[in-house]
This record gives sequence, C-alpha cells and structure tokens, in this order.
Amino acid sequence: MTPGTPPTTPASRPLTVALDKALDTPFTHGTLASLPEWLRADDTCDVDIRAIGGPAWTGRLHRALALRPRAVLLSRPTPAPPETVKELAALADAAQVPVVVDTPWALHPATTDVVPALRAAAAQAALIEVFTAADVPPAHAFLDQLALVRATAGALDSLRVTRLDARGHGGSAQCGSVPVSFSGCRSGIGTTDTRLVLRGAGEQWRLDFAAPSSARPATVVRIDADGEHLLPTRYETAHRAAWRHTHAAATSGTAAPSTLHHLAADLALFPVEALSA
Amino acid sequence: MSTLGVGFIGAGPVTQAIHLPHLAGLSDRLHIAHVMDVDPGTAAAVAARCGARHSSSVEELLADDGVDVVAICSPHAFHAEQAVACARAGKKAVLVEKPFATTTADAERIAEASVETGVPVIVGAMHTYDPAHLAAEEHWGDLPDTARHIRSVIQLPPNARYEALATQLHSLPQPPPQRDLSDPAARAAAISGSLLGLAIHNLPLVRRFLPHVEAVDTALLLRPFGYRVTLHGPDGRTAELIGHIGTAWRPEWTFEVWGAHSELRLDFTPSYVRAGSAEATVRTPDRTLRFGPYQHNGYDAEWLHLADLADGTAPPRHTPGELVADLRYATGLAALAGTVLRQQGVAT
Repeated sequence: MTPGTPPTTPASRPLTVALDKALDTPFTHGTLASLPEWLRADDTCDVDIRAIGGPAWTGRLHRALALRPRAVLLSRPTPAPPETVKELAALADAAQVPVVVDTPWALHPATTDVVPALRAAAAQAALIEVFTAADVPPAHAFLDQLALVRATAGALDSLRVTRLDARGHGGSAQCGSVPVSFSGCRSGIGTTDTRLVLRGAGEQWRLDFAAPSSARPATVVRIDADGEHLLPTRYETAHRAAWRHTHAAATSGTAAPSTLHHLAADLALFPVEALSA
Repeated sequence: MSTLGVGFIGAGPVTQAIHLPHLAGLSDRLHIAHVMDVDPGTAAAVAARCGARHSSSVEELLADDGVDVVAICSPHAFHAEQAVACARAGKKAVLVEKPFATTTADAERIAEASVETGVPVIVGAMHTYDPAHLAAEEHWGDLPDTARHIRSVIQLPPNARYEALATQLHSLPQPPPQRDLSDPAARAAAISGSLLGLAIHNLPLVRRFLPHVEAVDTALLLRPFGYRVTLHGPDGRTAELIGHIGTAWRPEWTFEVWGAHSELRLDFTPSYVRAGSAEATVRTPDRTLRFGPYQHNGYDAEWLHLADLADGTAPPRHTPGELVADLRYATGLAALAGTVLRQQGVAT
C-alpha cells in the first residue's frame, strides 16, 4: 500500500494541526494537502498535533509539550545544546507526547525502506562516507548527516570535527570498527547533492538524495557480485514521511525512526561552538 | 608517412597492459622499436609481441637510432638518471611514468636536462591529457580561483581484473609484501605509498584547484588497500582524497570541484581498458555543459602529444617547472599525511 493511503475504515476526523510561524508556508500546506484524511491545519479548535520549527525552537517546543498535544512534529531543528534537548526528551516522555524529528535524509523513504540491509552492509564496509553540497548552513547540513548515519549505520562512537565554518564542514568518526567520513561544502549553484556511500569488499551502497524541497526521488543503488541494482524510486519527500510518522505516533503510538533522543545523541557529538549555529 | 619509433625502458605490467595496446591503436603515428628490461627474457618476450628489438641495458636502447621517443617505465628510483640520459642522448621526446622522480632534486635534474638539451620531457599523468578534461577546462572560467572544495575518488577492483582485459601478461608481478600496520612508521610509509601510487593520478588536478597545502587534517588507511586524506589550503579551500582497491567490480574514478560560481565533475574511465575519455560536466546556476565521452582516453592523448612534440608540431602542454612543482606537491602531501598518520592515525 502506498504510504499515506488511508485505511478502509477512515478515521472519524482528520487530526488538527497547529503550525509554527516558520512552518506556516506553502511547502507545509502542500504537504498536508497530500494527507487530507489524516491531517488538517486548523488551530481554531483543540489541536491534536503541534508542528515546531525555525530558530529558537527549544522554548516553543517546551511550551508546546505543556499543552499535551497527541504528538509534535519538530521540523529541521537547528543545532541546540544537547542537555536542553535531553531535558525536552524527558519532558516529552513524562507527558507521553511523542515527538517526531523531521530530518531530510534519515527520514527519507528511500532510507527508511532499506535500513536493515544498509545496517548489515555498513558493518562490513571499509569506509562509510557522506557528503553534502547545498546552500544551507554547514552546521545544519552536518547535523542532518549525523542523523542519516545514525539511522543507516548505527550510533557513532566518537566524532572528530576537522572543519566547521561558513564554507563547509568535515569530520571523521568510528561506527564500531568502521571509519565514517563527513564532509560538505556550502554551494550556491542551485543544486543540492547529498550522498551516502558504503565502500568495501562486500556489498556497496550508494544513496544520492535530491533537494528535500521536492519529491524528486533519491537514487539508491546496491552493488554486489551480481551487478548494480537500482532500488525502486519513491516520490515522497522526507517532510511528508515525517507527517506520516507523526500521525502514526498520535493515533497508534508507533515509535518514530527519528526522535528527540536521537537528536540529543547527535548534538552531544557536536562541537560546543556550533551549537548555537 | 613513416611513424616514430618508441623505446621502452622497463617492460613490466604497465608497459605490457597499458602502453603497448594503446600504441598499437595509434599505429599511424607511432610504432614500438625497442624494448629494454633488466630481465632479458622479459625484454625478448615483450619485444617479440610487437616485432621490436630488445636489450637489457639502457645504453643499448639509447644507441638504437630507430628509437625516437623513450618511455621510462622502470622502478621509480631510476627515473631521474634514465630521463637525463635520454635527453643527453638527443632523443626527440621522453615520457616518464608517474612519479616523475622520487625527490624534488631529481625532478629538477630532469627539468634542467630537458631545458639544456631541448628534448621535451613529459610525465605520464594521463588525466591531464584527457580530451574531456581539456574541453571542460576551456569552459570552467574562474573555477581555479574560486574553488572551495575538491573531491578526488579512485575506487577500483584489483589491477589484475583490467590487466587481463588489456593484454596477456608475460609474467605476473609479485604481490607486495604484507606490512605490519601496527608500526607507526609502517603506517606512515603505507599512506605515503598509497598517495604516490594511486592518488598521484589526480594530484596534478588537485594542485590546479588547491595550489598550496597548508596542512593535512586527517589521514586514514582503508582495508585492504586505500586511503582517505583531507587537507586544506591557507585560504580555507579544502580537499578530500579517497582511494580504495577492493574486490568489488564497480569502479569509480571521479574528480569534482565546487566553486563560488560553478562546479566541475570529471568521470574518468579506468586505466588499462581502452574505454574512451572521461565525461565532464561544468555546471553554473544558468546552465550545464557536458563534454565527452570522446574516442581517445588520456593515454591516447598523451601519446599523440608526445608524437607532436617529437615531430616539433606542438609545444609541451606542461613546462618542466610545472612537472617539478607537481612532484613537489605530491611528495610534500605524502610526507604530511605520513606525519599525521604516524601521530594520530590508526590502521583499520
């Protein structure tokens, strides 16, 4: 069944959604319009789901949790102190409010479809590398990369940041015994290019992501002794997938693949000077 | 029209699997006149394949009047002495396989001999001759000045896979000895050898876009053979070099640059196989230009340039001073990476 297809017995009503100002955009409206049986932007009544985004999001998330919605979608969080995020995660747990973290590569359907196979291959890789060229602040791109590697390869043991400035970022880490490299370049050419590559003696994988603002599919290729296998394309943005996960969390308590706990763990690896970026 | 005679110093796998097939495909310009190898049996066997004369001494090869152009494919340590001898012997042109020499001083000796004798000497940096690369160069504008980040990726299956498609080797080379990478000095030597053996194919391109290396930031050895090295220049531009030779069949040989106003991507074909030129893409906010693939790869173009040099119909594409600078860059980078790995790297 195509993700987002409503059940044969429809819900009694769509869940109401209140959008932060930063998310009250045509892009979000267009996404919600693709899930009309499940979600509807409407903050004139009791709100089921609150969507938080934009800078200084920690304070607004704190206030949103106090309102005890059925779920929260935290969209593209910027770097923040990990202690603060841990406190928010604990607060959400205590309030039993699931928080789904919307991140462009880890939540991309092309990624979530293949996580078990990627994890198995990653453990055998000689190198896991992730690269981004995009016109976004490098600290944000770096954080999105950490989420992607956490989702596909597992938790990192350490992170050594060799560069993080206005033009790009670089770092290296270990995931078990496998080295992981991170790099990125802020590029204003107009193309967005994020790649995850597993190099090694066994299966190789290559995930090429397009800009997260459109549903242009990622290219996912598995290379093994039998050839190069292009996996089925998925014309869905990570943002829409995040809304699906949020709906599932609100209605059936399904755990999301990207949570505040994951975000806190990624931010704990970040250099302190980058946390206010 | 008569063709130029080529003499080979060293008849190992690179000569047999790369140069001989490429020259056979350029038989309207060049022919193999003489094969020299310190192993007389190898010299005779390889020469017999192409109807050439053979010997086991450089002196015999240089005394052969049928040799117009010399290709030096011997162990690296002999390159300088042999290249200088070729220039002094008055040959029409000399190709020195990578690396140019093992020290900058030796490279300078070759350059001086080339300038003094007027005998053009080039290095077998085939990608600098690749037609798609050269076509892109005409259109990449200020990218060398505005480059921010460079990526060089060389991922290949074991050489034997492509060698077997290019030729039938007279004898198989000995595998390199196993090294104890728990020893910091061995790790440093391994990363240095990896850069000078594999990364060096793209290093002249890297130098073009990151001309001064201020520091190597990370250096890592990969299993079973490979490296990842990151570096930066004094103006903040960065580069990452990844090389990996494993058992997987899928090759990747790419060189990419992101600049302030444009981006460059070169997809090269593997060595050994005669699969044509790279495919090049130059991208700006307004348009994307694509070049190639062209019929000739970098090796073909390199040999055609040598023929033009020998005929006196073209000036050298790279001056001797640039070749020395390329070697200085490569050896300096290898030394820096070795130092980093000795201090902090761990073989995995």
